[in-house]
Amino acid sequence: MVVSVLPRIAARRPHVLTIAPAPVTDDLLAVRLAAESEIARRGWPVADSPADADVVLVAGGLGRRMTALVRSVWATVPRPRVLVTVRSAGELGPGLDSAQERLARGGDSSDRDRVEWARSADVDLTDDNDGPPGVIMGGAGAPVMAGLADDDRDGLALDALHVALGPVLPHWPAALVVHALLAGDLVTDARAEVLDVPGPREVTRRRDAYTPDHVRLDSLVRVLGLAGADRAAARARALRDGEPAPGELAAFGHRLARSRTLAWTLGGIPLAATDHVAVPEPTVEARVRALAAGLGGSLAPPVRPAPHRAAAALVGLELGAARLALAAMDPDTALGAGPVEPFRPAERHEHHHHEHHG
Amino acid sequence: MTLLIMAAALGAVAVVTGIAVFVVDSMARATFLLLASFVAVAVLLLAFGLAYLGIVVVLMMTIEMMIMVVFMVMLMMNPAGLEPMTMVHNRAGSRVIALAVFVVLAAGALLVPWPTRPAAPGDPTTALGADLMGPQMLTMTVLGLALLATIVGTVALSVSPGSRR
Amino acid sequence: MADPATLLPLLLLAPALVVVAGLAAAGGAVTSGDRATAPVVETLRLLTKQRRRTPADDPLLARIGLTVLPVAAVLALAVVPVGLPGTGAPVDLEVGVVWFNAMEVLAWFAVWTAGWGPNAVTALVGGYRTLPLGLAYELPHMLAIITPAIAAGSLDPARISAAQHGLWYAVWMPVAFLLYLVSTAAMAFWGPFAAPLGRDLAGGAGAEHAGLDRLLLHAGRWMLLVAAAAMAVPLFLGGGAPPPITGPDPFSGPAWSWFAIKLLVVLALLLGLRRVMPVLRMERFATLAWVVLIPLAVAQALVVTVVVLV
Repeated sequence: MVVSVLPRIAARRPHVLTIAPAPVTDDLLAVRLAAESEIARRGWPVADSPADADVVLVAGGLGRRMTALVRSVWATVPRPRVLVTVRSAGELGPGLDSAQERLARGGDSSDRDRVEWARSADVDLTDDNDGPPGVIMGGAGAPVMAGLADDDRDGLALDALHVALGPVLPHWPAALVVHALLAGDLVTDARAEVLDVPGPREVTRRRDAYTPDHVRLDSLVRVLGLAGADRAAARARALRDGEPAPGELAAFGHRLARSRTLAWTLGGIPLAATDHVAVPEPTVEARVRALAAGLGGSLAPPVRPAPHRAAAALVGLELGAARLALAAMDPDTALGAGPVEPFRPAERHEHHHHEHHG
Repeated sequence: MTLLIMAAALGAVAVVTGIAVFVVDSMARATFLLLASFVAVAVLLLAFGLAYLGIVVVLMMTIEMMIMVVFMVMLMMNPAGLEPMTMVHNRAGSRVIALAVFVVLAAGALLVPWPTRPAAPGDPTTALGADLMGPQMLTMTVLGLALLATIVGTVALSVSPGSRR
Repeated sequence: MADPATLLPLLLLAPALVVVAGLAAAGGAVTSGDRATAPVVETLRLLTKQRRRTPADDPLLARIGLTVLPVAAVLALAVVPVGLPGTGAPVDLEVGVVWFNAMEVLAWFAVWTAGWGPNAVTALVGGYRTLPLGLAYELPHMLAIITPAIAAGSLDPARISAAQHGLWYAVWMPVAFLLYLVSTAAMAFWGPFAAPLGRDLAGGAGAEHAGLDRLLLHAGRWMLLVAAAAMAVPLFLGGGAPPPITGPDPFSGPAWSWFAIKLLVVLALLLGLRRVMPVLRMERFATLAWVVLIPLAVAQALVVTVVVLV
C-alpha cells in the first residue's frame, strides 16, 4: 500500500521545468506566459534545474534544435518524471492535470527512460557527435575541459572554461544560448545564439495584445526572481497575468523604485561594458528603477536589445551579476541571433601546474 | 595501552592519507585527504586530553583548506578538476627536500629532552594560552590588528567599482 | 558512558534535530507564501526520486560532502546546553564553543565538495561561493561567539549560560547578538546568504543533485541553521533559565521548555531576515562582512574585554 501512496503524495507538489521556444509569434509568447501563470496558480514550484524537475513542460511547438535540446534535457531528469507538450494556452489545464495523474502513477516510462550521462546547464546542443561547439565535454578518454586564456594583466596564463549557458536556466530568456568564456566565475567573453532563430530578423507584434506594462512586468518578474525577492516577483507576476487597475500598477512600481534593499542588492552592475550600448540605462539598478517607474504610465515600451548586444554587455561581469544584467536587459529572442562559430579550444601548452598523465 | 594502540592507528591514518595526497590525480581529492590527515592528528590530540588544541587543529585546518581551494578555483578553473593531474612536480628536488625535512624533524623529536614529570595540574587550555601569549601579548595584539586591517583594506579596494578590467 | 541515562540524549539528538529542522522549514515555507506541509511533501518526493550522476563526476567526494553536512549539524548541536538535567548539554565539553564552531566550518567543506563533485559549471560556481561566504562570515561569527565567552571567562556554553542570570548577554552586548544572528544565517547559507544554492545558478551546489542527495543537502542546511540558532540561546539568552525580569519562574517547567521558547524566537528572527533582504551577490555580502561587520565585531569584543578587565 505504502508503495502506491508515496508517489501520490509526492505528486501533490510537482516541480515543473518549462522549456519554451523563442516567442517569434504572439501565440508562442501567450503559451509561455499562460504556463507560468497556471503553474503559479496551482502552487507548484518551478524547478531550478533538470535534476529538480518532476514535470518537463514544453510550452509551444519547437524547431529542430530545441527538440534536440528537450531530448537531451529529458534524458537527465531523474525518475519518476513526466513530459508534457502543449501547443496552446487552452491545452495547459488538461495537460498539467494529466501530468500530475501520470506522476502519481509512477511517471512516464519508455525505452529512453534511463538516466543518461548529461549535464543540465550546459547540454549538448548539436547533432554531430564529435563535440558540440562551445560546450565543455566530459567523459573518459581525453576530456577537453579547460583551455588557457590569453595572458591576464599580470602576465599569468589562467585556465579558461568554455560553456554554453542556457536555455534551461531559471528566469532565462526563451531559447537563448550564451556561449561564454569563464575565468573562475568571471565572464570574459560571451556570444549569443537563439536556437532555431538565426538572426538578425524583423518582428512584428500586435501591439494591443501586450502592453508596455506587460513587457516591463515580465522583465521585472525575472530580475526580482533572480535577486531572490520572491514576494515582489510573485506580485509582479500576478499583476502581469491579471487585470490590474492603473493605480495598482503605479503603486507597485513606486514601491519597487523606492526599495533601498533592492537598490543595494542590484547596485554596482554596469550595463555598458562595451562600446555597443544595449539599453539606455547605464546600470542594472537604473534599468530596474526605470522599468518600475514606468509602470502604470503612458511611456513607450522599454528598449529590449537584440540578444547579441545583450551578450556583449555581460563581458567582465561575475556570473551572478551577469545573470541579473541579462534579466534586466531582457533581450528579445524573437529578434534571433547566431549561429555562433564554436570557440576554438586553445592550444594545450604544458601548464606550470598541470602535468598530465599519459 | 588502549591509548598507545589508538595513537598508532591514528598515526597510521594520518600518514596513509598524507601519502595519498600525492598519489591521487584530482585537486579536490588531494585537498580532502590532506584535511583527513590533519583531522587524524587532531583526534590524537583529543585522545591525549588536549581538547582545545585538537579542536583548533580541525577548525584552522578546514579553514586553511578552504582558502587553498579559493586559489585553486581562481587560478585553475577546470570544472570539478577531474581532468587527471599529478600532484607532484620537480620529483627529484622534492624528494631531497622531503627527506631532509623528515630527518631534521625526526632527529628533533628523538633528541629533545622531553619532560618526564606528570602533566602540570590545571586547565591545559589556560596553560597553553599563558605560554604562547604571556610574554608576547603586545606583539601578538599589534600583529593581529595590523593583519586584520590589511585584509579589510584589501577587500575594500578589490570590491570598489572600476577595479575590474 | 555505559549508563543508559546519559546515552539516551545522544541517541535522540539526531531525530530531535530532524524534527525541529522540519518545523523550521515549515515556518520558512509559510513565510515565503507556501503551505506548511510543503517540507513533508518535499521530503517524500525526494525519497521517491531517483538519484543522478553527471559525466566525469566524482560521486564519492560529493556524497562524502552531502553526508558530512547533516552529521556536522548534529555534532554541533551535541555541545549545546538544551536544558537537559545536569549541565544541560548532551555532551559536556569544556571547550564547547570551539567545537561548535569547528563543526560549522566542516559544513562549508561539505557544501564545496557537494558542488565540486558533479563536474558541472553551475554546481562548481555554487560550491565555490561557499568559500568567500564562509571566510567572510567566520570572523564576525567567531568574534560574536568569543565575546560572551570573554565576559563569562569560559569556553563552556553551560558556564556562559549560567553566567548571565542577572543580565542576558543579548542586552549587555547587543551588537554581538545581532552579529551572531546575521553570521548564523551566513554559516547556514540561508536567506540573504543563499548564494551558494542561488537560483541564478539553477540551484548552485545542489543544481545537479537529485533524490536522496538533494534531500541531504537541503535537510542538512535546515539542521545546521537550527543547530546554530540553538547556540544563540545559551550564549546570549540565558539558556534554559527564565527571563531575569520575571523574578521567580512563572511556568516552573523543565529547563528545556524555556530553551524551546527562546529557540523559537531566534528562529523567527532568522526567518524574518529572509523577508527583509533579497539574496546578496558575492560582492555585496563580502563588502558587508569585511567593511561593516568585522570592525563592529572587533569593537564589541574590545568593549566587553575592557569592561571585564576593569
